Amino acid sequence: MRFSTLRLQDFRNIEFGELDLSSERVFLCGSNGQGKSNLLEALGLVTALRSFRTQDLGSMKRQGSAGYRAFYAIEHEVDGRVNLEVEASKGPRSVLVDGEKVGRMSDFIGRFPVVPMSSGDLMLLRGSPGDRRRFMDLTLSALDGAYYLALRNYHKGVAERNRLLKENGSDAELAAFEAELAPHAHRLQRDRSAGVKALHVVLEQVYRSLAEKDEGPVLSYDPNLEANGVESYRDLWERQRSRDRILGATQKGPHRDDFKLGLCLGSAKEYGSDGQQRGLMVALRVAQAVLFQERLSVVPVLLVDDVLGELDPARRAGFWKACPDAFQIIASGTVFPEEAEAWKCYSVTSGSFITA
Amino acid sequence: MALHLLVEQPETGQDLMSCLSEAAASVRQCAQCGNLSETELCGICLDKNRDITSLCVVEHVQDLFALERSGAWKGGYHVLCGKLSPIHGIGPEQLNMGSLKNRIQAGEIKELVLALSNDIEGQATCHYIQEELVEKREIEITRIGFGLPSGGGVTYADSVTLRSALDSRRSYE
Repeated sequence: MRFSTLRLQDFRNIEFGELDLSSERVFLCGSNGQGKSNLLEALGLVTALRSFRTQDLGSMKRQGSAGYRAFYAIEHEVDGRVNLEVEASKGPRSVLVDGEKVGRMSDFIGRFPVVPMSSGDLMLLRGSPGDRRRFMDLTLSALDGAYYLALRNYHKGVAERNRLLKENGSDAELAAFEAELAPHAHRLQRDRSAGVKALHVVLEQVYRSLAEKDEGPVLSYDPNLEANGVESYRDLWERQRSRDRILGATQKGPHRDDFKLGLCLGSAKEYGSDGQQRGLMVALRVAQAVLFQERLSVVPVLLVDDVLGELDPARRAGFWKACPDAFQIIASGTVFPEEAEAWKCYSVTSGSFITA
Repeated sequence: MALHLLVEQPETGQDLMSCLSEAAASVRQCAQCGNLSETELCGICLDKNRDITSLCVVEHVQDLFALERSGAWKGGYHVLCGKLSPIHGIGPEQLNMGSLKNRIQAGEIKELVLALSNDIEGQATCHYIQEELVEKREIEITRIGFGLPSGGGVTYADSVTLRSALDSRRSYE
């Protein structure tokens, strides 16, 4: 897929902006704090209505405005030319695809795959298991709507169970919710295990192109509990009840899973150099994009938020080698790229975009 | 609607108010099934032509009305007045669960059709009924199917509905 037009209203520092994006390579150039990342953030919403910068969705509207609106014209391999509109003011956000309201998120997520790369990706290495779970959950949800539904039901079920634990609910009620949680937990574990293996295979290929020396990336699933089959989840939660009641929350389950991410020399967090860590993150995002392309039969768009400049020349060259030509790349930086003629360039100042 | 009644048809508004206040004074819950009724037992529970040994368990009276409009169910009902949802402070005590237990324990129920919503709370409520109310009694328990609307095509169905339809597919005869 490719973006051809973006119109934004009241999005962060952008009062109104319209950009022609009908080019394979688009570059947004400007000083810090002018609105480059805001624009990329708006483009990133189309995968799952999530921001790659914040979980506070309310913070995306311009200060003093009632809400934001975003309009995207997209060239799509399956759907042809698509007009997509996202509006967020009071109440839930509304999404219109060619004027038709999207009723279920599971029918939308992953339909317009976009992969963001930003310095915030280092949180996948340095941050908490929750950061890594969010990355994997978004990847797997985009690939399969059934995963998204299982995830949503699982979290809803855990919230119900936690309330019972806090309020001294009966064992019978707990058993009823545990029975319904178990198949969703099993599905999450199964899909995470398979999904991580598939992503690791692609990551190894991408990393070989990117890194001068092949330290070999490590990516594996680290489940919070080992359960074999649906019944074993029920048994585990039943055995855990007295402890969970004391703590007032479900201590074991896929909501506490983690993913090991690093280089063969050891955990990249502890042993990798800054450059190695950044290289690994770029490789992970390219691998995510390649996996989307393979599984969804839609070529995703790469949003590169000022990260290529942070790579050494060898890794930067490796990025272009690893990156399939078919990807539309919309990048940002504080200086224009070396081969500026290959890019459609915009200058960004105070939320305004001018063709450079 | 309020503006229409006030401006266009004020006399209808008066009628509506007196009807609503009369209904509020006389309508109550059926002591047996939880349906709306002006007498202790509702018309459905008193209907000799219906097989009250088969019960369709629903969340709300509106669900009962919808099933009645379809004319597809000739048994009795039991209205739970909700589903288990600890987050919303709804446990078995807040639901019309005690009277269902009494009906089951009286030994007159042979079949339960669980027509509760297809979400985690609805499913947990079904599980609770099966494990805590029915226990090991010989009662046939079924869950209503979830799938495509009658006359509806596959093209415009959402993915959740299609998944349910495929999950509950049956052999073609």
